[in-house]
Amino acid sequence: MSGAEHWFETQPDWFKTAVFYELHTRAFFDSSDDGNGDFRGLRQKLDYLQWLGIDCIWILPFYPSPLRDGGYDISDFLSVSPEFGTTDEFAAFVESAHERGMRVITDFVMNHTSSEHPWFQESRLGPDNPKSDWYVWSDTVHRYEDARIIFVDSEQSNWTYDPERGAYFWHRFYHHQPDLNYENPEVGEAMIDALRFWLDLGLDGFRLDAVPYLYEEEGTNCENLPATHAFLKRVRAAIDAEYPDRVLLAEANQWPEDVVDYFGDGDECHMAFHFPVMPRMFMALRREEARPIVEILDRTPPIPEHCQWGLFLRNHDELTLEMVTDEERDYMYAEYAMDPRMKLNLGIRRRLAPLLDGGRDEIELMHAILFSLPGSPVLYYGDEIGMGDNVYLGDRDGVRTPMQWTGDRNGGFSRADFAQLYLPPLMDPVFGFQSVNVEAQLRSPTSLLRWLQRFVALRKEHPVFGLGSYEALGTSNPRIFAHVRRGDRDTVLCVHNLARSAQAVELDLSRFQGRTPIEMTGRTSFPPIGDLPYLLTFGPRGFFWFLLPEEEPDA
Amino acid sequence: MRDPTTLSSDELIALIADARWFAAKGRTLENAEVVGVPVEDGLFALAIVEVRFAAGTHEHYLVALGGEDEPAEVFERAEVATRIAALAGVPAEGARVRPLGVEQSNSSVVLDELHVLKLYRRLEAGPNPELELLRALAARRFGNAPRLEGALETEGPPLETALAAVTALVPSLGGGWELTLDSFSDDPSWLPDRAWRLGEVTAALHSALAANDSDSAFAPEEPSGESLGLLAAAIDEEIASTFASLPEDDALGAVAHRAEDLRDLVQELAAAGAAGLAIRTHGDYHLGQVLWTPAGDWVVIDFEGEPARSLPERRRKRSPLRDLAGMTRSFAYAADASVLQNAVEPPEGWLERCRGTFIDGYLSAADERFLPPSRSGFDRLLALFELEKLVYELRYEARNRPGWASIPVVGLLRLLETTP
Repeated sequence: MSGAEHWFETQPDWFKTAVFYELHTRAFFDSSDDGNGDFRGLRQKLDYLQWLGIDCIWILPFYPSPLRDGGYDISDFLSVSPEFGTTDEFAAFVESAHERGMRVITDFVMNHTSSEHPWFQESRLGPDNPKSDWYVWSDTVHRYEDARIIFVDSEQSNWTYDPERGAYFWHRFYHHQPDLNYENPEVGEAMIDALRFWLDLGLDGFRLDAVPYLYEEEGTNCENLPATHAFLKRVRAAIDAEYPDRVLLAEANQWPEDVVDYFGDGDECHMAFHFPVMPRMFMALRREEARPIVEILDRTPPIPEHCQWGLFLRNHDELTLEMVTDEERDYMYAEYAMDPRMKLNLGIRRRLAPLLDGGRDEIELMHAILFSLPGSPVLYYGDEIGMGDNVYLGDRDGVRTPMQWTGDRNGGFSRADFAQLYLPPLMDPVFGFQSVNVEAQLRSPTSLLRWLQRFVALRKEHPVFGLGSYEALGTSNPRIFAHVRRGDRDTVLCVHNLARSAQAVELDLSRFQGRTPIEMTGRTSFPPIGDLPYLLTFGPRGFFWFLLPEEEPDA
Repeated sequence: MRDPTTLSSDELIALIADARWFAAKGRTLENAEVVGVPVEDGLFALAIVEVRFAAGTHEHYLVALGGEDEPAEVFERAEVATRIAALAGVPAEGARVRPLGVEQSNSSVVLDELHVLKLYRRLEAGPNPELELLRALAARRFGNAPRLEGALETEGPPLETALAAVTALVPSLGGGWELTLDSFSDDPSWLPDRAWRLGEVTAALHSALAANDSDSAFAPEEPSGESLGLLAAAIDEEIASTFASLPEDDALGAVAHRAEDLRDLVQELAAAGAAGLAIRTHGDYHLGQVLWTPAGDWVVIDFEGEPARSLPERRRKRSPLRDLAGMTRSFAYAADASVLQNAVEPPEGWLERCRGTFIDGYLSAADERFLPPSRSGFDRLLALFELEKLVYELRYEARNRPGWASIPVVGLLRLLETTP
């Protein structure tokens, strides 16, 4: 009997109404005073996450790794990297999260390993050893030439020559991350066994990193191939058979019409990230118009019943601009990455608060839109207090600095010497830990943190946000994003003003005639909906969420 | 007897909707279904009913079914109660059965004036806190709690949970609440004279609950740096939402405009310094949970925790001062209930004497690791927990018993005046 079943009633759709929180163990809290966060430290902070209303914690990679790609270069799938603690401490953390009603999923990289993984070390010895074809080897670079290069800033080719074996190996990401060869069935079995290892410790699921690239095929772009989908169905069937109530979350940075394939017929991943909606929210805000959001949701196909989108404003990677047009990308760079250091690959490496110039109204509005859309929101650690970034740190480290707990030394993250810390905490006057920290924001009822805690609670009171249908409303004002969510019981009208000026809008709500809208944060009744278009006025970046109860509200 | 799984949704709803232990009164029920029958022996059955709400959530209840009787009475039939006791490991064939009453989450009977059989009605997945605490207290030979004699548990599916418990009946002269109310008319120093001992017993209870370092469910824990901040933020939100929805009522007038003062008070009290270690606690501690025995001592009963809280919440480690605040608020309720119910005024200074003696008795025997390091920190943290209780009381009374709302109003005003 595994840990999760012990604490949760069987509830296969739990992830559809859940609020997720993504964090780095390394960045959260250091209990051992060595400058790195660890699982014992994370466990001590669970009360905070529970208070915030988090349902599921998503942990970034914590496996042994040479750390040339933030831990996504894994050199052992079956243990915890020593600086984060032991496997027992990991299991104790999961158990403590379960006790507080929170689930835990972790990153898992299916596509590749670190070049330091023993499998690769064995494979490179030559064509005759047992692991020789666990990776994709070739004598020529002229294979799979239609596959794009993803990390354009650092890689020239998807092939790298290995002098030891005297052949080229295939890698879709860094040249120190060789792709596994899924044509070999032993590879698939070994990976499913690795998943079982963690599920047996009570883990509630995985966020599967870089899933579109598992298989290669000549004459294709080597993404989203049928064989890749077939393998994911095998993974899902194995998990469903042995571990009910778990979730697989696909990271497939693709257009929605391609991403929906990762749901299969409800027999592949339970969830997938909706990547393209995120840059368009930022675009909509800058352009002060609803069209980018409405359009991308229009072109989002329906998904199977027991599946869900994962939605986010920011995450541990750059704000990715792969899924926008060239013109849109230029616009985003011009508006959000004034300093070229802010760009990385096809994206912008900044956190939410600095992207929005620290504007509280903008941060609230973006959360309101995020929470109102069909899907489950994923928060990124530190964004709940409006943490900043450090563009002078390399790669994506600028958005992975220590969590800011207090105004004390090292932001309360660690008692180690400053020089020992894995990354320096932010200390600038605007976003540094002396002005932005959990302790101070807990004390102030009007802080971003306290506001977000109330807002998470509000969303969770209404399962319609996770389960209901979505329908955009045409409006008389292009600056207003309005839509209706309908569930079995609740109908919710969400109206957001994207403009930095006050706006008015007339909405055609005739089909709700006779209903009295109730504003959801303050439970205030608005005038009943009559024959005429419904007039609403907004302050700059303002929004309203209304319940539209069918019966007359109680007096 | 009918196969429980053939009962229709409407029949099941009719069975449980009016029961006192049905926690979700007033919510819209979608349907109900028998999802498990952990006990069935021809005479009766214990069925787990899943009740689903329109909002998409569900709860589980344990229902005793059998014969032609009204289901509410099945459990009280001697054959059924003794059979359940036997399944829990306490043979009691032919015992006389006396119904003991129905509580918010359970119903109980007394067997032969020797055993109390409690049937848990609201079921949640996970270890039952009452069984957990009674076992831990027995292992530490804590003498001031009932002895656990047996338990009936199921591994599921649909869920791993406890169904029933049997404890030894504690011989008693009555519960602390009734005895205190009765005492005002003839012996108003009854509780003040026994408050020191109550404090000592409470301290011993906490020490016993914190004695097992090797069991992670009981080992005392260092609270995280922001634990007081989280508590204060939660109370602050509670004050804001309670006062925002306070009905117009003259009885509330004296505090209705003091919300901001109370929120300032929260910040002040939260500066209590370190809180001390967090431990397992009683969780729902008040005068109704202690019995006075003929031998002249207190016995603590009912370790289920607050029925309205989820099971993981009830198992949480907390500062033991929360239990103390429950008890001191209960003293205030007793004094005011005497006036409201019996028109008997407690003597001047009664409440202060009870509270002071109880706290001093507690501190005389308490393990200091669980307490804030200074007396002023202790007083602040205790006041913070009392404030938490008062806000809950205000919300509850204003909605449900406006005639009693004066109790928390007076308490809040006193707290505003007396806090340095």
